[in-house]
Amino acid sequence: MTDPVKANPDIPEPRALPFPQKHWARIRRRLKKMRVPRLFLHDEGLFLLLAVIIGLFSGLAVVCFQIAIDWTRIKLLGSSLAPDTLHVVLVPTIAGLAVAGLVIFVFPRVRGSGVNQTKAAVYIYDGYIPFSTVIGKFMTCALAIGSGQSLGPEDPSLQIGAGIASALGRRLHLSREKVRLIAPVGAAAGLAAAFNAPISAVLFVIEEVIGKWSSAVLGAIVLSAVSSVMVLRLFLGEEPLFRVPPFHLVHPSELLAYAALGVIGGFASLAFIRLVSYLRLRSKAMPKWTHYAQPAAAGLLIGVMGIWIPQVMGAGYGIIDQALHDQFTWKLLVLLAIFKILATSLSFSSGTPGGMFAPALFVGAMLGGAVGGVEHIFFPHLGGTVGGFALVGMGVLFAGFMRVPMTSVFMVLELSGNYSIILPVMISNTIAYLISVRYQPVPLFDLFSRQDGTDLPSMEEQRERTTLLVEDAMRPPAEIVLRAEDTVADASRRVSATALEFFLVSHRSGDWTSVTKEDLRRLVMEGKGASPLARALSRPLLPWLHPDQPLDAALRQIGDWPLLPVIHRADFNNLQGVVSLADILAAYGAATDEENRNKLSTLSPAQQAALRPE
Amino acid sequence: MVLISIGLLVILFVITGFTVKRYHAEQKALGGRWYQRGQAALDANRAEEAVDDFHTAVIYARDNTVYQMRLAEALVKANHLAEAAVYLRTLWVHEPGNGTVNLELARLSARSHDPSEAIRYYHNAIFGVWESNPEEQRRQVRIELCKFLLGEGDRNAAESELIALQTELPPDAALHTQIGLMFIQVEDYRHALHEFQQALKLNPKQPGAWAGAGEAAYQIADYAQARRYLQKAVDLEPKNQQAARKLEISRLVLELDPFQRQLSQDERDRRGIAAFQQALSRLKQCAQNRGVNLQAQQAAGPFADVYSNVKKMQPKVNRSNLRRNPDLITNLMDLVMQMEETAQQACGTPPAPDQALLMISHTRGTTER
Repeated sequence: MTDPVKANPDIPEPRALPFPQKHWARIRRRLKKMRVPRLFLHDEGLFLLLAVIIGLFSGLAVVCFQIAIDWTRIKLLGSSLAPDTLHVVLVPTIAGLAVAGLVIFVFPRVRGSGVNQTKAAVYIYDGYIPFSTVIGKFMTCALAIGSGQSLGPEDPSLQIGAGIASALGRRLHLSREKVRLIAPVGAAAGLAAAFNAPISAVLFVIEEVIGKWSSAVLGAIVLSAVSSVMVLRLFLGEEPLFRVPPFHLVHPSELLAYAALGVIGGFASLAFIRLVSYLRLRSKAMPKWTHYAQPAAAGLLIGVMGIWIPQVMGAGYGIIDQALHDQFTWKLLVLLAIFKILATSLSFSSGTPGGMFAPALFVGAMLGGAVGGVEHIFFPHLGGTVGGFALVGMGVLFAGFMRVPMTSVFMVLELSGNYSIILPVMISNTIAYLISVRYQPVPLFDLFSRQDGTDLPSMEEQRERTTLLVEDAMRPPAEIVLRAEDTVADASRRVSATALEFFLVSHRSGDWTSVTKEDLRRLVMEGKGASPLARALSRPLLPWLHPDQPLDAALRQIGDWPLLPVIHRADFNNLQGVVSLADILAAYGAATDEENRNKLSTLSPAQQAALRPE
Repeated sequence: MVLISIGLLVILFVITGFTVKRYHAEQKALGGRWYQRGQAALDANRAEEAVDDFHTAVIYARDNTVYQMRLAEALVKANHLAEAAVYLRTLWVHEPGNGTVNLELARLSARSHDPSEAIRYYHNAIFGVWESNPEEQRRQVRIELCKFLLGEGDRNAAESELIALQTELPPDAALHTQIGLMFIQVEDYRHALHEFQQALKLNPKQPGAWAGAGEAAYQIADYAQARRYLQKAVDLEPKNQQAARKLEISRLVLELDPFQRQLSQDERDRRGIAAFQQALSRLKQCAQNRGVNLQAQQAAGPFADVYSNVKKMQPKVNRSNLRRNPDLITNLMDLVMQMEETAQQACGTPPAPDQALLMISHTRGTTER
């Protein structure tokens, strides 16, 4: 089997990290000298301080990154919104060649959007992202996006932030665990600055990178996101990413139009995922020498598109802004959405580094605007604004394409600053998300990671996975249950007819103990037949379980006990069932089989055949 | 290491600061360049081109409200009303008291046939904040509002605005004349006359103000003043046919009116008899033009009634009867009015002397009421 790291240049090589604790002591001593408040002298305090520093560095990097993209665009394509034909065709093509050269010869790890690379760093390489990746990502993405490739700067910003955090963590000789934790902190900072929206960034990192609300990093993520946004606003101003028009829901029946937007957005997301994953797979399978020319070929095709539709070039924030302000007809909006999907799929699958966030927002805004425009024509009395639909559309694509439902709702709320938009957003996003999940079980980023030959943890699968409970493994209490008041002789008589060896003993106090057939036989022989079990037995109390507890709890508690009682939460003597180690393992086994069957169903027939044993 | 990080952070802050400063300067310059192009296109009435240029300018200077305003104006000119409204409303959300934004929104609402919104934004603009020359700007907005209300046919609201405007007018003859003309449009002739008189005090060489004052005096039946003002207007502007006709009528009213004060009994009787003969002549002429024989037993419609009254009155119309019966002149002039109105309904606009008789009758009717 080939080593995925060697086979795939997207994945950095692992590196052993030194983690001597003496460095922490040295930092503490220095901070003590600086009379830093006591709070910061603890590990948690230092970690939070480091999060702020990461946020500041990431904020600065993203400010420079955005300026670099803009400068590149102005220098290469000119300051006009509609550059001349020669520039439109030549610039992305030549820049594509340069990007290919840089990616293949200088920065082989900067391919892709940056989200999966950050996840790989967290889950495979203990948070290790080489600093050269940060520089490479910065340069190649600025060149690619600035020259008109249909990609966005958000996901690269996320990786740049994570890379900065990783580099700082390593320079500070943090422990392996801390470096692993700190990469998502930087990712949140980078994304927050790129979006100028800290809440969405925090949620995205939790929803897509970490996958859980971990108190260990939540505070640090929030602090880094806030500090990076502060830096961005300090340098580039308070203006949000888009000037969002005022929104109000004119009539409840308008929600039907938003539901229609959810359906259209859901299917558009499906088409987008399928096209980009198909083209990416095909371009990866092409001969090696074509990889030098793929970004240039994508640039040429996008340039040709740009002659007629210059709006599809670049990240497209200006165009989204125009769509939010009702500046296009619905037919043009549909056309822009279709061509943006095509252009982005070409750019991304060619191996050009760049993000998918901005194109997803672009497609969503165009589709939303189109639905709003159609509503205006056919139902003018409803009176909803096209800008409102475009705004909700952005969230719809985020939910359906990126598959981050929580982030998609909060992103629209954060961008609009208007709570009244919540109803349409929730309806549209939920519909789009459900359609996407139904027809495309594997989310976009997981699809990419599988195409790259890695198996990064799928946050969506984790969310969707049903947690096994004790009730999934327990058996009904068919066995004889003895009472502590029973005499040894009576108990011995009751159990003699059964083949079982192990019996539960219920105490009035709600405690449970156990006894074996052998114990009872011995006690009778010793002449203690008339004694109650409670007095005659000296076995320790049994741990008990409740039916709604996770099965993991049963596994932890069962130890060497052959059987554990599962009791009612409000009546400790009420035995609901029993569970043994074999029952627990059987439940896990059944669940794993089910999971594997589901996973197999998501693979193509060729992949399924390859996995099938000879 | 922390200290190095903080030191590095400070250095990076400084470098980024310089970079951003340069970037902003370049963006500002680009914005300015596109703004100037847009302004030139707008001045040359190339609205679509101006929209593109201003759009580009706004991209490079997103905070610049002047660029956004110009973009909105260009969008209005290019008839992209919905888009302009969105831009303006966004500006309005940031600056709800901005006079220019409110004025543009008012114009947009007026064009979109939404009078209540238009009036609301006009009032916001009147009481809003203006960067330069606020009094003049507010005055101009109120004048625009008056014009809008007149266009909508809401004379009462327009009159209220004009009265409010009247109190804050500067010593500007042209402005007083303009307001006077608007008062005439709302049929508030006394305020109109006052405004024209103010205008004439400031600049007596304004034919428009003389004509307006003459018209206002004419409408409030002050024919002596009307003759004086209209005479001056015609002297200054001989081609003003309307003023000339009203001057003629005013002169005739003053010559023919038997109810004028300080007339001798003889003169009053003479004027009454002359008015009767004039009206009868007009009635006969009109009947002839319409092919109606007044002498016939069954004369047509309205002519029959009025002519039967004429026949009853005709024997009494002489100086001795008028002297003996002082009320006869009143009855006589009622009949004159009846004859003139009948002729006017049947044959249209009367000649000046008959018009004068109609004016006399109307004035008397108004005075009596």
